[in-house]
Amino acid sequence: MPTTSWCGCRMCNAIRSKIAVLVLPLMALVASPALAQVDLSGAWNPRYHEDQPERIPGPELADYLGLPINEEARQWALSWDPSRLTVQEHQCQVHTVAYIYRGPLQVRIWEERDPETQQLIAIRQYISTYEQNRTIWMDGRPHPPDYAAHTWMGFSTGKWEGDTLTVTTTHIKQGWHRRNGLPSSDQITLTEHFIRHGNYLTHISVVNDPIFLAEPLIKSQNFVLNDTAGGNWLWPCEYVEEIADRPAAAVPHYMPGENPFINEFVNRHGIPVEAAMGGPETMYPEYQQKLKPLLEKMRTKK
Amino acid sequence: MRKASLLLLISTLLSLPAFGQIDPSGEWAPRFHEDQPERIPGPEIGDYLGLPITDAARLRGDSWDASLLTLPEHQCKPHPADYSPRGPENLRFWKEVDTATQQVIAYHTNISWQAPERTIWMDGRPHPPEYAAHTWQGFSTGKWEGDMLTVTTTHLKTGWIRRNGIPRSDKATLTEHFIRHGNYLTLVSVIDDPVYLSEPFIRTTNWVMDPRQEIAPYPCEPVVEVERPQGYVPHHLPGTNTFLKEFPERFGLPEQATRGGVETMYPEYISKIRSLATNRK
Repeated sequence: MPTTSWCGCRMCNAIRSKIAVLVLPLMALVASPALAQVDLSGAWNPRYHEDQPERIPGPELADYLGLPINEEARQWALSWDPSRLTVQEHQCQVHTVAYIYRGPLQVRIWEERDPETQQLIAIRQYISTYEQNRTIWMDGRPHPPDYAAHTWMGFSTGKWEGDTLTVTTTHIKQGWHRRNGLPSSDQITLTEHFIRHGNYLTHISVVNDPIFLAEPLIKSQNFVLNDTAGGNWLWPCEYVEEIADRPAAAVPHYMPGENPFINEFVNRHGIPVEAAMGGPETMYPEYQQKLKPLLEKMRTKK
Repeated sequence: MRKASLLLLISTLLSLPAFGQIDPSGEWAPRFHEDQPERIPGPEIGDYLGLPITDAARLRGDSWDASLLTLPEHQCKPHPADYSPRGPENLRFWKEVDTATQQVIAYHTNISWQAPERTIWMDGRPHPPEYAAHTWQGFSTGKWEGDMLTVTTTHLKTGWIRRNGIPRSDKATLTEHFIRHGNYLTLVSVIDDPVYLSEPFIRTTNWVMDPRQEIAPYPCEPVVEVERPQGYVPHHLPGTNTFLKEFPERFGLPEQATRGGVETMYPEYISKIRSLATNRK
């Protein structure tokens, strides 16, 4: 007679095997997802097949093609001098959460659960670049009031939409939409969708920026599960004096109309300056029609 | 450009495992292809075949009455750390990392049956002194041996090796090897028990990664299942357990073989069992 921990009394003997048969499907039901949730836990390594030139070597100066920026963003970016990154205050500057998934990074994801109820309290992430820890609250708590501190990783809440984890983040510090000076404001709202397909993870981010974007900016990145990720992924950053003869408090910049690099990108790739300056229309396929006469004009000039 | 390539190379190198470590984090669904009859419906009473048990363990197994589990004090017992992976055991593995150094401090596990949480310390701390409390999950420390996580557990409460009453003492040491092969996880567990085993007892258990798995809580409330005199503990006195004959009779096995012991673990026992079967006829 089989014995089980669920029923051990003699009076149960007759029904014991029936219980065992019943318990198995019950256990299977208990262990199945309550709300089509997917476990994202693990170490994820990035794949750069998408947008590699922008993400790894980095974007060219004054390349704003395909970005739905407004005139303010363009003005800001044209006045941005990459030498600004040599200023001590900027050397260890973190990518904000809206940008950080674009650079070289590893992501570790884990869950925080209530030990009593096993409810998911939060999904946590460690991002190797600049050693950033991120919390996505899953317990239904509200976002803090407007005046609360803005941080590199912001304040995130998540919910499951089918098998997609949708995360809304506010309270993000000012950062950049592209790391050639195109700014993102501290008023942005980041909406993310994490979608797991087996051992692949797709991350789609939608940034709404009332200050520097005329339309939402949508990007996607892919990751592969790395079950041999044992490294510590530290990013120790110590700032040093990189430019010795710079006057105290000097901030590298270009005054309007004085950016000497504005033609580098367009000349190298044979693209009209108007196109390189970006804006919502440069995102859409219809822009090819507008680009054609601009290209023709360039050829005629030559 | 050269700087970017260098950065990428450094970034790649940084992400390589430092000491051949594997990340076991995630949701793991059990596979019962191995030892299914013992693990799911449960072992038969009096089946000690293949267990390297001592006479003391055998005597205790014989005196165990399955009705013991109906006592309120026994109804909500979790399985101990060494047995827990054998039952219905959807497993969650996660790690605790030091925020500043990103060193792994500990691994934690949660198992669906009675939801025991377990900690495997990875920070080199020693085991507590002998007199420290013994618990269901014991005190575990782990280390990486190549790509294999080896865990040593002491301070276990008295538990069971097979859930038909074969005991495991609170003096036992559990050694476990967790081996991940892609989306599969194998656990090799070795129990050394100076009280109830005469040789180490080795088992293997497998899981498959299941990102859609959601482990529910396991609320357990003891109730009175059987009205009994207060303080009564179901048991069989030596020589009175009539259920011990059920197993050998059902499977046509010599009774002597079902009593287990070291020799019943080894292939050489096949020759002995043949002669026992012949004599039985």
